[in-house]
Amino acid sequence: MGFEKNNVISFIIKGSRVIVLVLLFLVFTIFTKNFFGVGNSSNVVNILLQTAPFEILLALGMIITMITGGIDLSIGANITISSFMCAMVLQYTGNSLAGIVTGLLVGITIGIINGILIAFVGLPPFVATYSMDWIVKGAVLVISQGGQINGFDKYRAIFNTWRGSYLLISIAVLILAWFLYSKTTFGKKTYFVGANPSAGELSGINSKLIVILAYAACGFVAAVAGLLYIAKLGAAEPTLGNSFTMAAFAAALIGGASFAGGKSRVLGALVGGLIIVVLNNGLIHIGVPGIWQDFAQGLVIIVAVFLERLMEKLQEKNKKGNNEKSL
Amino acid sequence: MNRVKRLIKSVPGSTWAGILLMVFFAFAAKGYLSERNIMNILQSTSALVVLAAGMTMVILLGEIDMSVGGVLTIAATVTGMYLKLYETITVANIMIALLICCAIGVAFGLLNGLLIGYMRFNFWLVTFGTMSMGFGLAKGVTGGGVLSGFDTMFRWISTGRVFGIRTCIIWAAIICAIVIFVNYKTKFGLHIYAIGDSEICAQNSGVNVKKTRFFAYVLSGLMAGLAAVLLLARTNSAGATLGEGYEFNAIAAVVIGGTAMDGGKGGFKGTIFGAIFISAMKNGLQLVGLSNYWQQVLLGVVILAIILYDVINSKIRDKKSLRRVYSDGI
Repeated sequence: MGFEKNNVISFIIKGSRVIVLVLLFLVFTIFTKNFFGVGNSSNVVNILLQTAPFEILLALGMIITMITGGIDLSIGANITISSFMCAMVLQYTGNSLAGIVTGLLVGITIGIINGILIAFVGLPPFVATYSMDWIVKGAVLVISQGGQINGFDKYRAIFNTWRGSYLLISIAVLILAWFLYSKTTFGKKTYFVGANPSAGELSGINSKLIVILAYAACGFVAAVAGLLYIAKLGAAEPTLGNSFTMAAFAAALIGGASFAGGKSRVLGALVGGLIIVVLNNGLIHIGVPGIWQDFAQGLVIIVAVFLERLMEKLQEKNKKGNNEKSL
Repeated sequence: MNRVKRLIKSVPGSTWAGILLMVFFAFAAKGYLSERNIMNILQSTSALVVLAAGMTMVILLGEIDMSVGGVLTIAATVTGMYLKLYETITVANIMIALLICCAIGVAFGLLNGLLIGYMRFNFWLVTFGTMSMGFGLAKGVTGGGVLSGFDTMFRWISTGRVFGIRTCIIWAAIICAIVIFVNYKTKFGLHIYAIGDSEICAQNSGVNVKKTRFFAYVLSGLMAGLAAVLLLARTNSAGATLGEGYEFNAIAAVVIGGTAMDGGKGGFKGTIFGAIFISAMKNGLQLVGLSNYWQQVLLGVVILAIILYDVINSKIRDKKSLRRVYSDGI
């Protein structure tokens, strides 16, 4: 009988985040009128199609860099600059493809610069990406002189003709990242380098390249989020991404990302992103004004840290119990 | 010749940058070195240097307190709301306002210290969380608005004059003197160096690692509260964006001042220089006529350049000393 109990515990531990998501969903469904109900699914469909894709992408970018044991605090700025550059190209050429390519290239370039500063120069990831955040944020303000760009309807039409396109694109990017980092040798190498950089280097892995690629991937993901965001918003603003870094970080942590390299799971981005959007939306339905969202996000980070520790302890206990039985 | 070379190399990059900057602005900006402008620079340094004092302690431990900007914001906001409750302010009100500011700072410091020092949670996670809690709370309680126009008696804390010197500079100088003493002369300060250098060594030689770490974060919170008083009284306004970017500037001041990010090296004296450097640069850029936007970009670039210079320099030094070891051995 005890064996079964242990199985149940380990199952709960493994799926704890999904359980939290389901619980949150149930609580909001039961205690609020308009969150979700039979014949009243428009709110949930809305958040799934309109806000969840961005949270998922943000968390994904952050998690990829966290696999290498780093962090990317320039995600917000990267979203701003890639979307703004895209909007500028759209304004001057009117060619949507040119705009998209420009945006993606800008995002990847900034990621590569981050990667080079971290891998080759040896700056701590935090310092490199946080300075980059300020430089890029300021650069966009200089370029734009504080103004915004709008009026790119042709570009918006590409994404807005079908409502599900945001979700589809973000899920596609997520699956691509999952495949790359969970199913290929490249992914295994990245986890190896993240877990133990010097061992990775000694066993012949080009760890510098791996780190640079991780930051480039994060830049790419940020750029995708930025491109989608201006399509949704209809305007590119120089302060667009300012709060996104925090959101990315919160979603990644909720999704189970760990600062110790080589531990975070890519699919955590999906769960983390969903929990954040459900929480934000549900709080509004309960009657908490949207202005408290930032505070809730901070609180959620602290609570997530606590739960993480609790889970680890439970897991250890569970393992111990299993070992004693097998003896 | 060799001696000169060594001397040049021993000076941190920030000092060179600082000297170059001063010379450049002295030529480029009219009135940059005038007494009034120097006072201006020191005035805008006052809150930053106090904030950076706490940050120095935490970075010496090899960690970072990201929450200082958020803590400053919420402390200033709540204090501002308290001051707004009264038509006329008495000395007792001001004392209570000071207490509120410090209490909020210490409360956040306690939270950080408990979670990081005693429960060994990751400092990134915790301080990032408390940072967004601070900013979010400020946004929530003000409803996104800005409070301004405080009593002149309260504002005297920063804008009064004693012997022709602005009071905020005097307060900052007093706090700096105390922190220098704490940093270099007390057991607590020395323990911080020991932990930053090697936690295991410190632990084994009888340092109470948990307690020291705890108090470092509490000190950082208290400093954020004190900085909030100075800033609130100087800018005469409070809102959810008051402290935005201050954590970046504080970290920059510490790092420019030659304190290593991995702990154990540097100290508060350098931080004072770093903080003045940042204010002097911002002020110069303003006098030259560059917009706020440019200031932000250039500040980021300069900070990155200085850190790069120091990192590369220390790498070269390491390589050379290795070579010396090898050649001596052979």
